[in-house]
Amino acid sequence: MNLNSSKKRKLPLLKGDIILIASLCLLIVILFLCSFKGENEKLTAEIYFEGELIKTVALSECTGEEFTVGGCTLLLEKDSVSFTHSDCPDKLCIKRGKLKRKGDTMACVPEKVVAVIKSENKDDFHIATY
Amino acid sequence: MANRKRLISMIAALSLTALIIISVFFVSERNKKYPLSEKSVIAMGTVVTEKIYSENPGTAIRDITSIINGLEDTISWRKESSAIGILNKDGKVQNKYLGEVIYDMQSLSRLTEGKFDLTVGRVSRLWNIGEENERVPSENEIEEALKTVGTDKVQAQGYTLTADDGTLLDLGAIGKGYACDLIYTYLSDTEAEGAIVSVGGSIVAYGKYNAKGDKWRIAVTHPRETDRYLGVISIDEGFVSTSGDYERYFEKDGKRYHHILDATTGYPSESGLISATVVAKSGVMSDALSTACLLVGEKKAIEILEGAGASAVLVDENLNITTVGEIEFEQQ
Repeated sequence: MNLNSSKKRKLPLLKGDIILIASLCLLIVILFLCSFKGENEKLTAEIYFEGELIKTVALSECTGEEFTVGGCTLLLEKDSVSFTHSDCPDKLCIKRGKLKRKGDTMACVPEKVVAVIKSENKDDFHIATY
Repeated sequence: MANRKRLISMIAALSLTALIIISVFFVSERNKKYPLSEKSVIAMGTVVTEKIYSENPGTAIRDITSIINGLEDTISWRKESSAIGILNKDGKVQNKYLGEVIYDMQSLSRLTEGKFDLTVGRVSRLWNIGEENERVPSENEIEEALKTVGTDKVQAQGYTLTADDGTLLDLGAIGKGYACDLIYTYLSDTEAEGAIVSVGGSIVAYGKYNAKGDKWRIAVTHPRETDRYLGVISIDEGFVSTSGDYERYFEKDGKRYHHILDATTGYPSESGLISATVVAKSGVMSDALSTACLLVGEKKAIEILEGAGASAVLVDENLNITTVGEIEFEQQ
């Protein structure tokens, strides 16, 4: 069979068809990108006092400022939060060190202060067991 | 002819677009999470994180907090007016629920050859691990305290519990799990589609968080590294508890003294396991079994877990990981 002998046929595509196909491709790309949104983890710290949420802060924006609530002082650093002072007797909250993973939780029970690390957009688990 | 072909290609393209849009809609609907309400509070001397997935959460968060606070009035040894406080003080108390729980725990105690025992309270008070006055007690003190420990030191008959003189019950090994059981029962009577609650790290997972019915994913704390998790367990409904030597401990002369006390020796367990995460059919069992595993070591732990129909992730002191039973665990 001689391939060269076959007749050249014009594709039945007009400008409108090309726009339609291009739009379709664009839609698929957008949907694909949407499915990957939120892959970059942005950690936030939530601080509760007596059961009420009193502060939410993006850890990426922290520069080592201190936050005092109840009898506790917390150090808010880039990517971590820690208790640096507490009026409580056992100081367990200070011993716990830095909270830096999504799901990390620490409370100063006597002073009724809780710090929780959350992720704004990473959804790989619901809760942590410890 | 050309016009007809163009028309056909256009219809095909439009059909394909419609198909994609409809598929995406259905997939996103199935993946859509129910609205989340959440809060972290302090109750029963620990952090309680409540996540309710529901169009109509109502008063669930407030109610769960009340349930846990109510339980503290029953099982806390720190409260003299609690059932356990009264039993420890007077040697006798009437309570509908405690009898059954203590009976089950006595069975577990026998399986661990006495290493796990709720009557270890007097020994725990000597160590006070995690408290202001934590210390290493003298051998004599431990020997004296051990005389008050044993399954025969407490009796459960119906609703009546009696304890021998000097015996102190400490429900620390089951309290959080017990709370999880009560939360599950409560949630069953609400309109919540799903909920996951952590009572100081013991977890109850109820219902579903999306229409698709995906499994709950629970991160397991790494026993030695603080910047990553050991892995993630996936479960449908159920109860998960972890015990480890890393949560409450102090160090003296380079030695780590953790809070999981062996009721036969009076000292922190040295079984070779440093962390045990257990998935079980009840909160009390997951909590108790995780502690029991740490006390008996890997070989005996596997035997007990299999007998109880529970599954687990065990970590030994060399950070070797062993999974037991049918557990979906992704190591990280």
